[in-house]
Amino acid sequence: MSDIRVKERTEEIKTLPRIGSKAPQFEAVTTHGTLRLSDYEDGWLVLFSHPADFTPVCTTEFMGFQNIYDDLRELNTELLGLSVDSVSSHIAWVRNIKEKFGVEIAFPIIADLNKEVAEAYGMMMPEESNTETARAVFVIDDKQVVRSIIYYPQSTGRNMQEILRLVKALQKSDEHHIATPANWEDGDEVIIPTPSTTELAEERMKDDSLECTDWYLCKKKL
Amino acid sequence: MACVNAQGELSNSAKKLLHAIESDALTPQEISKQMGAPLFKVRSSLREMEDLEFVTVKDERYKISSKAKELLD
Repeated sequence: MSDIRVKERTEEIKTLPRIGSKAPQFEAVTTHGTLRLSDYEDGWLVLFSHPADFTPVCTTEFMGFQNIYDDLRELNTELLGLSVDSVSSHIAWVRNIKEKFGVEIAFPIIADLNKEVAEAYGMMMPEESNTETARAVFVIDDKQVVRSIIYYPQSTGRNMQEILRLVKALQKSDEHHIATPANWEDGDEVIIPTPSTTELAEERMKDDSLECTDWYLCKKKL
Repeated sequence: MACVNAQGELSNSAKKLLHAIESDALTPQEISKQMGAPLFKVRSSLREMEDLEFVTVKDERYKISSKAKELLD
């Protein structure tokens, strides 16, 4: 058997979290002490990774995340950062951001030195970097189910308003059993799920409370 | 929210949490509300305090232990 085939056979196959799957449990050292995923039960969590402390794009992102933190908390949603740097590095960086930019980072950051959490969540992109995590975002709901996953490469900072919009859209969908159209913003019309039978499709078209372009695309105001 | 520093002294947040459960046994949710602290931090601190025997727990309600009371005095 060739070396390559042996490598393929012995390589550990990991199941990464998918939308709808239970988020992998963890216990991790953070800038706010030891935290477990279960500590966030009954609330929503945005778990995100960044490549490294004291790097320019990550610094702008951290200030961006802090900027939406109050809005997220209004949505019963917490923020939790992660990189493979140490707690001391995180603390020094957070202090530096406060000193240089006047922004106090109030959310905890995981020091994932052994990459345990990063690998469980698929935050490592070996083709891009073996030593740094990618810009991953996992939105985890109050039942600890993964609801959305976003990946950005190291070169591109994330859009914080999109993350906030995503959490709002997911929660609105849960609350009202609706879907949200492209570029939806809070307050816009929402989409009614497509009818599953011809009878329901007919009824849908006669419903004056809805704005229907056709039976499969009906909107309403909440 | 580390509960004790290198000298074994209680941190300010630990003192605040212990004061919250000085007279009544409370759930983590009630403590979070009373302290105005995020629930995840309260849960994490209570776990640490339970390991240090600073709190006792019965039916998911936490109360300060006699050991922690001595530290607060």
